[in-house]
Amino acid sequence: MKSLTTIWVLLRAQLHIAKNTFGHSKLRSKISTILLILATGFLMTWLYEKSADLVRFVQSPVFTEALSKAAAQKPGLTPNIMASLLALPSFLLLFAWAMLTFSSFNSILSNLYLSGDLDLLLVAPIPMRAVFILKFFSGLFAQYVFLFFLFAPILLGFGAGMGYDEIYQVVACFTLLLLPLLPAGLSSILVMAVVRVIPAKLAREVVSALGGLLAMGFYFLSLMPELAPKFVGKQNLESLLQFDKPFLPPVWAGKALIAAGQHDFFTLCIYGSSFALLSLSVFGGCLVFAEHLYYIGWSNIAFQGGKSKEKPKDLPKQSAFNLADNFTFFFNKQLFPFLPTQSLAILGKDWRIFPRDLRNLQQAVFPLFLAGIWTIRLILDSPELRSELEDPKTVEILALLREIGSLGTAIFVCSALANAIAGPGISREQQAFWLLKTAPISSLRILLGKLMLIFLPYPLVGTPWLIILMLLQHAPFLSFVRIWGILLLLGLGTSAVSLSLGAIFPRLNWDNPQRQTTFQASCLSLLLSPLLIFFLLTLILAIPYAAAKLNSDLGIILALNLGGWGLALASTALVVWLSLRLGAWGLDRLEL
Amino acid sequence: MVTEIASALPVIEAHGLEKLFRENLAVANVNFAVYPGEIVGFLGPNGAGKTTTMKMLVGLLRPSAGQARIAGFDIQSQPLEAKARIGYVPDQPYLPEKLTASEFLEFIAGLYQLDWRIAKQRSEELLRIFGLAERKNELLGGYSHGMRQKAALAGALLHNPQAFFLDEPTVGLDPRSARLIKDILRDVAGRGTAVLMSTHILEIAERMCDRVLILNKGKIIAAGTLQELRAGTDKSLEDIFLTLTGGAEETELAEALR
Repeated sequence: MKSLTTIWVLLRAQLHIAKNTFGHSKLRSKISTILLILATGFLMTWLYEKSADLVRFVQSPVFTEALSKAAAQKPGLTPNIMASLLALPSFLLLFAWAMLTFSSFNSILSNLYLSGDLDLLLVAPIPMRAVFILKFFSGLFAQYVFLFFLFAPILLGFGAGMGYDEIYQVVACFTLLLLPLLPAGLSSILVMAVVRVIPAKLAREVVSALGGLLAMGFYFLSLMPELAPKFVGKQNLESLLQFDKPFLPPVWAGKALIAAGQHDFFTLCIYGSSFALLSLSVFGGCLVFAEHLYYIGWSNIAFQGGKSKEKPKDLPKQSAFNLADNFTFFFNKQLFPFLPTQSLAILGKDWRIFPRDLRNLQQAVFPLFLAGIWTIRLILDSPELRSELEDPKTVEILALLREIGSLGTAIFVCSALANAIAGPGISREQQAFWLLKTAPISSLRILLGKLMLIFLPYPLVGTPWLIILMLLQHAPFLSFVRIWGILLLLGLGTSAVSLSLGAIFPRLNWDNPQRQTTFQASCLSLLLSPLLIFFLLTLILAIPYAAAKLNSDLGIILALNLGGWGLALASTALVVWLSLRLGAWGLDRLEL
Repeated sequence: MVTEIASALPVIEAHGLEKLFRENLAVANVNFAVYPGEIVGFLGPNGAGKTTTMKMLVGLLRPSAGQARIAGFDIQSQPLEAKARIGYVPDQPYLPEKLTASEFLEFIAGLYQLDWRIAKQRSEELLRIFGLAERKNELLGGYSHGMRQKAALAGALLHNPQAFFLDEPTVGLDPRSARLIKDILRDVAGRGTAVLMSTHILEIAERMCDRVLILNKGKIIAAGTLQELRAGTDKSLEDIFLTLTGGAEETELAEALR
């Protein structure tokens, strides 16, 4: 009883916080929130309508006739569409269940071990069970949002399309309520075991990195059209039906849903009750067990530091100032003679921090992986490898497109790396920015150190990347030099712009690296960077190319080329200077 | 001691400092000076404006009016000269979590452009004094609050500041560490550094400070040595503090409830 009262008190506090957060937010945030709610409602309605329409269309005579015609042309193509349609809820629930299994771990971990109010709750004279239950269900909140905003409209739309009545709708809602319980229950035990071994923060970083890799895997599959035929066709449709066999609990739920729609109450009772009983019993059992582990201290908040650490060995290479004249072996005055010592200190510090946060590495791995795929495609599609292309004009245009493609890949890789290493610049300092603010270093020097860090991937990674790409494409040396020059100019200009916006609109209190850029900085960066890229590319590539196409004099073409480069250089210098000045102005205004 | 101090030029100066947050005047016309070798306690109830004043003095906040000067340099118009002479430890010292203590000091040395060899020697010495030498290669993120506080103190002292600001320096520290900080403050002041320290622990202020400033509702309501504040009576600093900040009623209420 005391637990229930406490849960109610804590829940009421959460509601107050939510109400106050909205009530005391700026008008802009309020409007954004209302727009977001409206957009979500619109999306849900759209999903519902489209799902219903699609299901109706698949059952319509038009589609059946088209399918019959296709079957007449290809005798092997006679899939059982109705069977596939009836298996759809099972697929959907299985897919949602798989996603919940993975995401619930992170969600429960964050809520049970890493939420900010835990200290306050744990020292309060309230039952530990109440804290555990509240935190546990707070962790499930995101799962329910995901289910009810994305899957509910599709499932309900499916029912409407099939002509099912309210019984189906009610059972569908109950199914979605029960669906996260089993994965969450099992995840709670897993969380306890993991936090017993490693610190909660590290566990979260590892899970985020694994999540990124998983997403990368899915994306990789979607980028490979060669793999697509394997998923389309009669055999594959039939093989998908194999998943409709009742081996896994979500399939039971799917079958119960169809039974509810068809008023087959016996099947509904068998599958529905099996699914509900298993979900509730496993969830209840895990909850009690996990709570017990949390309560007895086997794996509670007090243990979040993981196993007691061994005393670190005093490695000579890590001792303070072991390289008397350098920050690190890499960032020294000899290599960066133009950079003030203070800027060099910031550069060295940021470079050290980067690989120590797994979430940064995850951000860097994904674009690299993506760029690898694009590069393979670029090389495979290059004109040299296409013997059928003999028209010189086509080859010339393709060569230009190849150059732009190489440049685009290199920019993407470098900017993604820059973002992973330095983010929006100042925001990376988080709440430790007071150290820079109270140090005798000008805002301009702070930004200079940050700019060097953001720009570094362009010469360090972009150069070898372009060399490899151009070598594989057998591109001429002059072409490489031109593209390399453009890459460096664009890199410097866009880095300065994003750094400046990050300094004018900083966010120092982020926790998730994906939320370290403010809305204003993101929007303006999305607007200004492409503008700058377009402007510089017009000066360097488009104008001379157009002049050449218009059969201008060689002297004019040369003058336009040189003039374009000169203007591009001057423009970049101006952009960098202006960005640094504006960024410094932003930092000077910043109060902590 | 007081005569010696008064003859020197002040290191920390607040001239008519004011800070307005929207319509709320957090600090109103604050004037004081701290001289070399002096330890000044900054006292006041919660929300009195101590941290805001301190933040204006170190350059984290811009004053709405008035001037903050460090060793004669205006923190707003000559920030680099002023900041080079400041050491500051906030009440919640957020530090770069993914740096080790030794790397953190290396970073600070770079920011303050210290001579490498001297900085190396001094950082080793500070790490030893603060008991962090054995754990200098551990990430600061793994440090306890007290250890972070010590790391922040080591960073603030690395460049031998002329003006040392501490916001609640003993909060969250064990008695041994609190004693260590007291000893270090005496040592630092003994070498001519002006120390301004905000604290709620009146015992510390009573035992350590040459002078105290009592701030209430953004204004300095009393300033002077302990003897001056007592004005011939045998009142404790706590009594004086409660009388001046209107806490006497609460004391009476607390006694009535007993």
